[in-house]
Amino acid sequence: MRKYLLLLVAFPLLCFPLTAGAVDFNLNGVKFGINGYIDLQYNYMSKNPTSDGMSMEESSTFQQKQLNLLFDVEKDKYRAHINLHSTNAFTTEDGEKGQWEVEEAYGEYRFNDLLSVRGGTILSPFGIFNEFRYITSVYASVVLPFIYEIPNGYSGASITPDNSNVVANGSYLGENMDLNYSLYVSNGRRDSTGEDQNKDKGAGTRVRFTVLDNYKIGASYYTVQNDKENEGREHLAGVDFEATLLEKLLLQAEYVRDMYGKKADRLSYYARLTYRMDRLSPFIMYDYFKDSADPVWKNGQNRYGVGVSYDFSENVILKAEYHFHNFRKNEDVPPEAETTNMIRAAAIFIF
Amino acid sequence: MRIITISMLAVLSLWTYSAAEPVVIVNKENPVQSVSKKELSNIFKQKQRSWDSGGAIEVLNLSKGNPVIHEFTKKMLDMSVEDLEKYYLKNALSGKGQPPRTVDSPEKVKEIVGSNKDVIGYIDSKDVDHRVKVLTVESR
Repeated sequence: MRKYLLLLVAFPLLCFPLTAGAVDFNLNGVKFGINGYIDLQYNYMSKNPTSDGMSMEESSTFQQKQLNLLFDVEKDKYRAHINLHSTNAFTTEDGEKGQWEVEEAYGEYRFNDLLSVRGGTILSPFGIFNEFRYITSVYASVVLPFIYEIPNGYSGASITPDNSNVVANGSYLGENMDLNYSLYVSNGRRDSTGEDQNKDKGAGTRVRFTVLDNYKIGASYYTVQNDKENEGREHLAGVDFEATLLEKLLLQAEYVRDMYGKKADRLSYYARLTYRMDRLSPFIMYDYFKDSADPVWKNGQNRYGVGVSYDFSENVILKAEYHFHNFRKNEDVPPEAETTNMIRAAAIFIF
Repeated sequence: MRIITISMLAVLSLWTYSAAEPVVIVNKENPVQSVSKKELSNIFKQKQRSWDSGGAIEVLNLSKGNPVIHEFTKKMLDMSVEDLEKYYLKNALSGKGQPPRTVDSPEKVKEIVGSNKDVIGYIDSKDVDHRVKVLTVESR
């Protein structure tokens, strides 16, 4: 474990110049930008349950979690954006080869501040983090709440919607209150092999009010007609809240309910408190996830986390955190995996 | 004696020193005469991207080495330059757009603002000349 942590910290510091920056330039009124980021992560988990009532062995991995390359072209009211995402480009444990995916690729036309339209492949606007889920540099923890990252061992799909294809969004900027909204349609959920089931279309919306710059209240809704196996229409609804208190304390909380079958539903909520200093941002959080149709997660799982993020330089961020999981009373949870310890450490390089 | 002389010179130089007084400037053809602090913040945070007349706003920042940007972000945007940089970085990484153009000198700001109707920038009040128009910033 010690050598992994050493490698994790030393690699970005040795390999990358600390002042490296994005490439952006202006050519005859056309703005071009190239950005990117790399996450190197160490992950330790003690025994962990799975949906089939078994338990996974203790694991310890070091990997390049992700490498993202972002390309932007902008002229007047037109913009194009591509986000290429690579996972596990090198992996030390199981020899997996990395693969590249187009995470986002869209064109945008902005009519005015009240209305922009995007078309292509777009991360769906849902909750606080869905559009930022891969950009670990912009929030304190490495681990995302269960709403965005399902528990280890859980066999169901992620809660948040897959990518959308057409998005209309805009904002109304008032003196004391701002309103942001998004409306979107998508091809719907993918099946278990990742293939798009084109017969199903999804639609969703998100609104967020910002009051006095410090308080943000949001609501999101998504619906899709799933296949027969999932027993019909799915309704996913959530509310979220962010507040900056005493200038340095950031409180974030969300509540999401996913009704995906005639009798089944999923529920997840969390609260996180981050103290933002110049370079150091310690945080604590509580997280909960429940799926009434899953024998192991039917009564829910709690997660308690504590961690810290440190801005080593403008381009390098270091993070370390500890999470303790425990299940609410449930005879289907393997006794040896009722509680799980998780340690994550990460070095993130931005360019 | 030398110590006294140096001390007096130091006190004199501190007394005569005055921090930069940033003013917000636009092209003379831009019909806007004033902005509120909230509007200014929305423009420099790239939340407001269009003028009421319909043109796409282009924001111009001075480079970090210039003291005027520090005074500008502190007095007009109520944030530090570092916080503004983090804000731009989040926007860039999340596909919300690239950071505004940065130039090194007030002369370059005046040159670009003076030749483009939709550009907004800021300079020290002592650098204002006939090529640009100063906007009134209302703290309502």
